Amino acid sequence: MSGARNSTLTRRSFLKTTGAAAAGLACAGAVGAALSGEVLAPAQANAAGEEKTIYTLHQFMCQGNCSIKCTVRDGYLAKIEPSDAVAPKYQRCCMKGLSEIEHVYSPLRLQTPLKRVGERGEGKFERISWDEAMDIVGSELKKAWDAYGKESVYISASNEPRFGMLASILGAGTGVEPGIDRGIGNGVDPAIGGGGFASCTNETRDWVNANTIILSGINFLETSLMRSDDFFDAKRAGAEIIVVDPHFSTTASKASQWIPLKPGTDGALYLAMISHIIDNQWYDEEYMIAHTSMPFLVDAVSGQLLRSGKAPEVDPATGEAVEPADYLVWDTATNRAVIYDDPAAVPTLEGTYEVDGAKVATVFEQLKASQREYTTAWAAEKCDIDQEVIEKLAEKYATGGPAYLCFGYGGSDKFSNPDIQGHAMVILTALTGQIGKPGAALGHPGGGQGYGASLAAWPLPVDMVPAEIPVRADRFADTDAGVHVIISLGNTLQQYYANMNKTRTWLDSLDFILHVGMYDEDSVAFADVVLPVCSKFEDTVEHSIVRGGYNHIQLSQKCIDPLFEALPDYDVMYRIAQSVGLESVLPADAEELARFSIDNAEDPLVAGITFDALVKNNNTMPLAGIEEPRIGFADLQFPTPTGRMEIYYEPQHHSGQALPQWEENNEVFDGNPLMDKYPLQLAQTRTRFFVHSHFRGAAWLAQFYTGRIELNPQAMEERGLADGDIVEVFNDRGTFSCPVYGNNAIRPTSARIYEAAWSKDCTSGNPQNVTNDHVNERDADLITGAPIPFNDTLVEVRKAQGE
Amino acid sequence: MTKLGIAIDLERCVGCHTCANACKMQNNVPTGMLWNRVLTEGCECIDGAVGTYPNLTRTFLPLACQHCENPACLRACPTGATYKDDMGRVEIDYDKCIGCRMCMAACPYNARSFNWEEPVRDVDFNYGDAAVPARAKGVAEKCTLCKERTDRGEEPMCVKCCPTQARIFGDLDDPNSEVSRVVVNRGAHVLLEEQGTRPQVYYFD
Ligand code: SF4
Ligand code: SF4
Ligand code: SF4
Repeated sequence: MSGARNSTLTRRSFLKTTGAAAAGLACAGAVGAALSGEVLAPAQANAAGEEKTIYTLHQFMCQGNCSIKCTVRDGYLAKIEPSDAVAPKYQRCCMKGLSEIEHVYSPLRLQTPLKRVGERGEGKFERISWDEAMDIVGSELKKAWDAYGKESVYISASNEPRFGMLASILGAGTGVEPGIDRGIGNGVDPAIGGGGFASCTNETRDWVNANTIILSGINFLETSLMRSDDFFDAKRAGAEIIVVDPHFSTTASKASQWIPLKPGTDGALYLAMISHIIDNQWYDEEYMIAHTSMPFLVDAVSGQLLRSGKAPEVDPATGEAVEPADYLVWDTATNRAVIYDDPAAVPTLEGTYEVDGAKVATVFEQLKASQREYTTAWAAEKCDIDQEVIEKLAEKYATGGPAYLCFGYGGSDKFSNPDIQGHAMVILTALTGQIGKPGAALGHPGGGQGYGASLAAWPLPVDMVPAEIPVRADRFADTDAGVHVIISLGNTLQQYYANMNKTRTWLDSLDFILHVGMYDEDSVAFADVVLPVCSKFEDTVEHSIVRGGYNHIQLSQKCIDPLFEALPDYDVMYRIAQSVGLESVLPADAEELARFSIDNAEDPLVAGITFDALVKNNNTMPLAGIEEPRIGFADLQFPTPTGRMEIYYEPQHHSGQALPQWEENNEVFDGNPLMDKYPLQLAQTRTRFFVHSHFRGAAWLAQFYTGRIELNPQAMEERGLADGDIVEVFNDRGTFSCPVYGNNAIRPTSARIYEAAWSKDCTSGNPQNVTNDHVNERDADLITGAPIPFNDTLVEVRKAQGE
Repeated sequence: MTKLGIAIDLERCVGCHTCANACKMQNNVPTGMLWNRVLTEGCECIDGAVGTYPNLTRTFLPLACQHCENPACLRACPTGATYKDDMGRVEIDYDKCIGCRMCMAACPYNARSFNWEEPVRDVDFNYGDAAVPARAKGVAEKCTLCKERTDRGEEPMCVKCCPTQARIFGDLDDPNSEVSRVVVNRGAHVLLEEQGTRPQVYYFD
């Protein structure tokens, strides 16, 4: 055994790999260069110096929610480790967290306020003082207010920096960026009353209770690294973990089974599973009758659900009519249509009937009819997998005991129609009742999706509310939303918009762009004024952030003074409010806000947790009642008008999607003539190394990974490419170039790059130059609108000219 | 006697490199060096795979000094700078190291790094544990099994930080320690057994 293993482990392979890892260091800093002479105050290392230990929290965008313990020596952040103030299960800190001791001091940090001196996008700036910067910000905001009104300002917010109240204070628009992460949820959530994120209904600590866990397009062991133990504990307890992914991801390599399907065809797989479960009658009739809309009657012609005609009540709070939820079912006891919750009724799942002269059928009967084409043989061809694989998967899911159906953000959700996948998945759940009990759930499990508590919001004057912007931010370039000023918090201008060349033209047309961030990311170059914020380790008060993290409440604590001229989030938000004379509505400092938000929280989960108690408990306390993993919908009551899983989407009847119908992707589909020119799908996947754009500037992570595109060695050979060659990646929308490497893990018809690469990670341009900004025609039908189909992108790759 | 060692669960190892950075931080390891690396077996690149799509396998291999019972490095070291201590750890006395790099040539695991220049760091201060001694230009260095931590009765930093608990640390001389039990019960093996170095780092899956 050990002999066989060691055969690949020659001494030479050890050596070679070392060389490759050491050669990876990269990242030169444009802002560092622009600000030549600005260097870190040099530290005199002194091992015998003064040390203090600080407990705080790490990172918002990553869903790890780690509590950490920091050692500060002579004013420097010298060591980070998992906090020992939480139970062992929660004592976690990944390599990104550890790399902060370097990342915080990175030469790529924005150091001072900057004013643009070159063209937009050119990245030429001069340093200005905070006072100068805030004068410009104040006068630009007022200018826009006078010319076009407050709704002409839009705050494009990523998770960091965090300016929770700024949109309300300025009366600006914000938060219309649902083009990301909600693609599959668009199909799942209408059935179970969610808002589009489709968070997993159970927590991953419950995975040990499952017999089957299907992970579709989610590289869980990288993107939810901190919950990896739940994966392995479940597997050891006997769960079969099946990963559906076009690439051999880390998670695929650790799974019981990997299903390598064609990119963007996940919907076909789940449609076929529905058919196979129906054909074999593996569905749970009792569950369907009691807890879903499957027995409801539909008019076969109009597609409308039959109703008793109950007069809708009016919600006193909103003044709007409440959905009367007066659907009819066929009562086999009396042979007539009765209201679904009639206690005397014996509803049937099947059959067609006549009601008031109209031909009607149950939703389930309609489903059976609409599924006819979606055989396992059909899906096998669509997905390029064996029919038997699909049939076994369906059987396991439906008959193999408790099962999870999970999906992710960053894979199949970033195509033009992932709602169909979501709709099929929620129907699979409704057919089998795999929800609301230990070991059975549906949704996105990222970060573990444990208990979360809500905190109190600072009371602002009632007239201070964000502006309603009727257009989604990713459509600003196409549809005039009346926005003339952008406040970009973090690298949003690159991350939230596909087709960068179009974005550039739109950005050029704006009156004013303010960028607030930590690093010299792509968005910076477009700004007129740049404001540097601190990392969460630097602060001007002791405690500034309270967070309802994974099963805990966490409080931040200052480790070091602000570096350079950067200021913490709250202080910058305060200054922006002050620039237009509106700061008086804010608490005096972030600590007052933190104290307020926890001490006034009404959530029963935070019972007994106060600001002072948190400080006493090293800044973290478990929520009340988290001993058992969270099981969502345990009472099988869903927040829908009927309290059931409402899987028939009546408003989508006009587009044929009341029940899910296969629809080809926009670019990535067999037979698309564009493939002759651009035969490769560009997959922008997530990775353990970054949280979107964040950590791109960490030299300690660049030890392991530097910007590159990866192709299957077969695709490399077809194009005459060798490892390390600089290649152009291009299509009709644009081009970027970067080094290329071969990797067997990549599907031969795809090119993979980790998402949100900065231009600095590329030789020229950046991946958003080529990404697809198509809008699905069914946009208006989807609860959060059509997702931005970043991964529904075709490209060709060739050796860069002159290389 | 005490014989400290580590057993690594290759099934649970997800190749995250947390152990690599935990070690780098704790031990103030300079730029361009890692005492603890995570290789992808049979691949030149990190996160590669062995085979032909879609018939693929991947095994991550975290690799640092194996704290061999019969260390090739120690036999090669002409000054006695490399020594086996009473806890079973292989350590380097930096003051005695003359920079001849015989140990590096001898080690079959490529576990050692050398300070060709005055060490530089990405930041301008010494990070990690204040008790870890500084190394100068011209000395060899490697995983110490977190000597300063294990002296205090703590586990090595890579073990503490591993998010999947893939790394089990303890006394291989104590048959009741978790690490001893895992080595016996889970059929653990060592790397390059034929070299006769008798590593105290085991791997199992
Ligand atoms: S990046 Fe995420 S997983 Fe890593 S330490 Fe921070 S919060 Fe935890
Ligand atoms: S920290 Fe643990 S899981 Fe991560 S690479 Fe190291 S041994 Fe593997
Ligand atoms: S792994 Fe190499 S350096 Fe470590 S004890 Fe063995 S021979 Fe010496």
